[in-house]
Amino acid sequence: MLLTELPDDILFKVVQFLPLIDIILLRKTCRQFQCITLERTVWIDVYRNSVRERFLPPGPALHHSVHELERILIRAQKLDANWGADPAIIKRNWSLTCEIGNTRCMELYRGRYLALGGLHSFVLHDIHTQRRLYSHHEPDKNFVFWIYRRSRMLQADYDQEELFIPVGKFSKSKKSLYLMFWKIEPSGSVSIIEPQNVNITNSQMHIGYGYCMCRLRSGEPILFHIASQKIYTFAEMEEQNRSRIIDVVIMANHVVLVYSLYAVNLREQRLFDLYALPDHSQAQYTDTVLHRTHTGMLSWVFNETTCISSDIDADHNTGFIWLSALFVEQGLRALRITLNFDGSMLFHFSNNLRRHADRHTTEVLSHPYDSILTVIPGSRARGVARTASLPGRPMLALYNIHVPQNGDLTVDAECIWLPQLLLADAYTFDGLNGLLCTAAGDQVDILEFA
Amino acid sequence: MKNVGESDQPIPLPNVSSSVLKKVLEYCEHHRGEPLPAPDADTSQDDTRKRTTDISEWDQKFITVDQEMLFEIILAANYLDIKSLLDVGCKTVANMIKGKTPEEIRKLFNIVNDFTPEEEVRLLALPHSYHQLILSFWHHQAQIKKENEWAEDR
Repeated sequence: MLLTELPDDILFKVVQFLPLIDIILLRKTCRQFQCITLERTVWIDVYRNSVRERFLPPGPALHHSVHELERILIRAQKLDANWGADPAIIKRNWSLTCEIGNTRCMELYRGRYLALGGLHSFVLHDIHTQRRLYSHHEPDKNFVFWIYRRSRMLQADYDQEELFIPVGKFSKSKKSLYLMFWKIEPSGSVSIIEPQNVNITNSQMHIGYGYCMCRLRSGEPILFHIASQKIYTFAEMEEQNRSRIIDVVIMANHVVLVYSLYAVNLREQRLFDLYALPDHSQAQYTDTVLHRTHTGMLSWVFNETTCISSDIDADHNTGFIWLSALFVEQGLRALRITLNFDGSMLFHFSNNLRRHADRHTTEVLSHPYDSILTVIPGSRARGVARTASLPGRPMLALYNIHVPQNGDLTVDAECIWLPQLLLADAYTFDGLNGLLCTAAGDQVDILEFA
Repeated sequence: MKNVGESDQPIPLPNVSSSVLKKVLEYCEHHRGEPLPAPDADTSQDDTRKRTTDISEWDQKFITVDQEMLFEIILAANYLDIKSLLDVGCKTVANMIKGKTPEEIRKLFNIVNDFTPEEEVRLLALPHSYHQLILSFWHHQAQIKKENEWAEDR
């Protein structure tokens, strides 16, 4: 009896145990294996089994063909293998001259849609097709626009079919800031949504899972559900805490608010509240008030450059893991919060930072002033940070953060300097797709990690 | 392994030879008393199972048989619905395929290359990234010899 005489369902099972590379090599042996390894189910399996270990864009989606699935998986495997190489292997994917002049802010969504903002204009490009999808030049100089910058890259940004990109519109005469959104359909068509009278303050904006968290001009923090244009307010929030929100993490079922306050001894303290998100699947849901489910104190003293990046575990039903990579005074640390199904919460902090090799100065690791991180649930994060360590020579540094899942939570960080050609006015990073976009003047570069 | 109830009815085994059945019984005897995997194991368990190709020491020794016997055992395990044995068998075949060039796989399993020369050229005209991935893979394995063979194959 020969291997090829075994029934197909057994051969499928064999293929399930093979790594990506061996599946591709097996394909070249004969027609029978070519057919088997071109089956969609094989690749959906490989994809599902890789999600927890690789920086893969969320999927597999229905619209992904077998070849697309393969391409994405191979790209992820290559990125994983090469990430952390010093010097970093980077190639230019595309360059464009921005028609709106100096780019003041930029953001990349889904590793594909690049939003650029100038003073009185904004433009949206599709990196895949290298086409401009939308542009707006405001003749009325009364209005100033900007694109909100995110510090987090959530896998959840990929989940919904429609994509909402928040844009700020400031009226000089009215001294008011209005919120608007670009809505990108799966087909690529773009429309603008301008909610009536959502007059907000110029504070940070947090988006995720179809919500956007901002602050009304009255000072009240709100959670805005973009699709239904519903405004949710926070019940049980202490009056004094309203202005002290320093960070917000929107997750699949909850939103976490982190507050900063000074105790009597002038030591800074961090408190947090957890609010349950409304269930939109219930048609009769009319309550517009969010209720607090948890409150507590973090014994961790962050400094201003703290950046929390988070994501949730894929399994919503058994609670979730929130992995955070934090930049604190002493360097890079990790925090993992587990919300158990019974409502109890577990906190894990890393005690020390381990570095693989002291290739670079400690300052690079300790004093980034601005960073973007991508986290895969559970164990790893990669990020880009700007560092102020060398005056007059701002540079970007790449981080490769590994948080072992078992045992003590420790961070293994590798830091790679990017060449000075990347010195930029604005930058944005997508760790899932290995893309880094930089803007200097009117020149925008889309760089791809090999 | 499988709970066949209290019935005294004989179970027909037309596709299983006696030597193979002996092996299967040996396996079942050794693993007797171990908890059966839940019939509808949830997906998370399934995932971890699939990702690991580790085989326990006893199973490894047990499954060290010629190819003919290996495939017969797999077929019998499939027919008798002995999930753990089927896994051991499939993992063993997967481990045999791992890290080999297409030519080596053909040689090992007596597979006839039924591609036409044109098809073969097209097959090898993979996107650039495939080549790089495959090359880096070889590099990692430090299998220079195989790399040369593969290059010739190309």
